[in-house]
Amino acid sequence: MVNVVITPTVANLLKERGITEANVKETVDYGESTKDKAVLPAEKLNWAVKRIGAATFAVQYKDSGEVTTAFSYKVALKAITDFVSEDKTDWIYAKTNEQMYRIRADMEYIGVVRAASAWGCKSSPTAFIEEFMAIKTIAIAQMLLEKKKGA
Amino acid sequence: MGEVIGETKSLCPVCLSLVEAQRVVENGQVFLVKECPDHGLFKVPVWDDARYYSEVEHYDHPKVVPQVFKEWEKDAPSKMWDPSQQLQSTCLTVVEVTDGCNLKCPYCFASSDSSKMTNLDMETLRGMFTAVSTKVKKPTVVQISGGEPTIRNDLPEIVAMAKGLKIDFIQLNTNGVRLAKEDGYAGVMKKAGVDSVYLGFDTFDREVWKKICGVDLLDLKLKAVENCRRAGLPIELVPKIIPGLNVDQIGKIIEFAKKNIGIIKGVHFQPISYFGRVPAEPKDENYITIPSLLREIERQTGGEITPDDFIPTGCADVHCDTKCFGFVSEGRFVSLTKMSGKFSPDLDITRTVREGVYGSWGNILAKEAGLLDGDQPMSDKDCGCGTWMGLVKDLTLNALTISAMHFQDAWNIDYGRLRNCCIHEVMPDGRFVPFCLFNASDVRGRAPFRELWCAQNRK
Ligand code: SF4
Ligand code: SF4
Ligand SMILES: [Zn+2]
Repeated sequence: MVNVVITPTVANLLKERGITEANVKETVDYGESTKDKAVLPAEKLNWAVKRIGAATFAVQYKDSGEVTTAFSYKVALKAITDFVSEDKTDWIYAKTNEQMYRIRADMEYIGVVRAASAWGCKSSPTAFIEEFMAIKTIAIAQMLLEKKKGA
Repeated sequence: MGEVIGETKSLCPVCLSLVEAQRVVENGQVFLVKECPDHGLFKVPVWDDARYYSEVEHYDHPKVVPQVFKEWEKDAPSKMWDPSQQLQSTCLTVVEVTDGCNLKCPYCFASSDSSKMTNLDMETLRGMFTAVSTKVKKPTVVQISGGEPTIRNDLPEIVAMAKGLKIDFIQLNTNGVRLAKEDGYAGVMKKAGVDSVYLGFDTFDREVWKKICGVDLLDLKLKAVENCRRAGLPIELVPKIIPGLNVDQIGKIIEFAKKNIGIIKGVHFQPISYFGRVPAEPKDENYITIPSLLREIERQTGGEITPDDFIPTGCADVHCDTKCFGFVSEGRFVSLTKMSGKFSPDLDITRTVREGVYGSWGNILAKEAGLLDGDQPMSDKDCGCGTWMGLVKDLTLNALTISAMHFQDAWNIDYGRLRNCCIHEVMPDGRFVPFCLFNASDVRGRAPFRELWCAQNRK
């Protein structure tokens, strides 16, 4: 088991983003126990993703357990619809040791389904949505939709 | 007399001397009460909801002490103003390029008409734009104004010069006559570097146009909007609201903006203030203050937009302005700002306002969402329909800002508000003056700072 380490900088980030330490631990434990996670061997970096309640949490952490970042989004994965295998990343899917590539994932939020681009591979059911996408585009889209629906 | 809730200073509308003044609550309304030793007592309504008056104070934002007013140390018109009291830096600068106009409206800040024709020369204007780009924090916003700037045939060169001097946003304050009458003029303005048109738009009632501007301008205004649409030149509608004339038009103007969403980025209401040329000395019933304006918005939009959707920007004094950011979706206005809640996402409101002055907070949010590549919208390939990016793009393209600023005239001016002023007029000599002070005129329409503007130009 990986022992999660949260530096003061990351603790601030978590606070800002409304993510609890328990969310982080649960997500890391899930990635470690199932190997349903991405890894970047050169940087000894891991990336686990887990749906907990009404949000999906994503945590990136070193092999040592030190969390480098964490973010979340409310949009929920419905289906992976498209694979663009020529657009590759260095991230590797841990369970099968496959190099991951660009995918399109249908994500749902308050009754609206839209596509988001993410990393993934054919043998994995998980979509790895990048941080900038989650905290910028998707966060703003969620906010606009909430206002629109009066949620 | 009612309850005194604050001490301040104001002007005597007869002799324009600084006088002591008090904010007084009477029957739930806030008045400014002041006495000039020579010209007697004045009591003017400033805010018609005393509870709301104190509520908005929570939105006061820390101010950035300005340096620009030090330049007045030696020769400030001390009878009217102590520049060392100014507390806020510049948000928007106003550069008047002429005092002449092709109209002669009965209500005109600048008392303009076709007989006046002080056109600042290019060198003077260069100095004024340089003053803005060197003294004001980026992004710099200049409103090119007058008089009517479009009467100058060299306006494209003036605009291009401002852009060349690194002014980030250029707003063109115009009556729209030339935009309507001259084919291709909107395109010329856009090409020269105008980012947004600040278009006076007071009513849909032809008779009322005659009262406000002396002639029926409705067709010209509509044509101006059409021409801007064809040129892709964004518009902010600027209705000045005059009790007894066009208060009933508020809802219709908002509806018009919603129908023309995409090209109309904002509606900026200006409750009337009595500067320059006005038909008569104002009485209480000639004022409409921000709270009643907001109630009218609610009433005339059938509750679609409510006072709770508006917050003071906190950049100017909290009693000077109010603003609501939103977007139009399926014909309805959806507000993002809430007085009772937080603006989300947590954008720095001051920054948003600075960049949003020219009418589109949507661009800021789009940029924030990663939808702009530099200043260019991302291609449809990257954020086409069906994606979350596409959704943000669609909604932000339909952004609409509804706002108001109640300028202060010699009757209702409160120096507590003036100290926090962030809208600054640039004098021909490159010095800055708070906008309301620049326009302050006495009962006869004499405006000392406007006279100075003319005098500096003659030099
Ligand atoms: S209000 Fe505007 S359009 Fe009317 S006379 Fe004055 S400058 Fe001209
Ligand atoms: S221009 Fe007048 S109303 Fe606007 S911020 Fe300055 S003092 Fe206030
Ligand atoms: Zn006096």
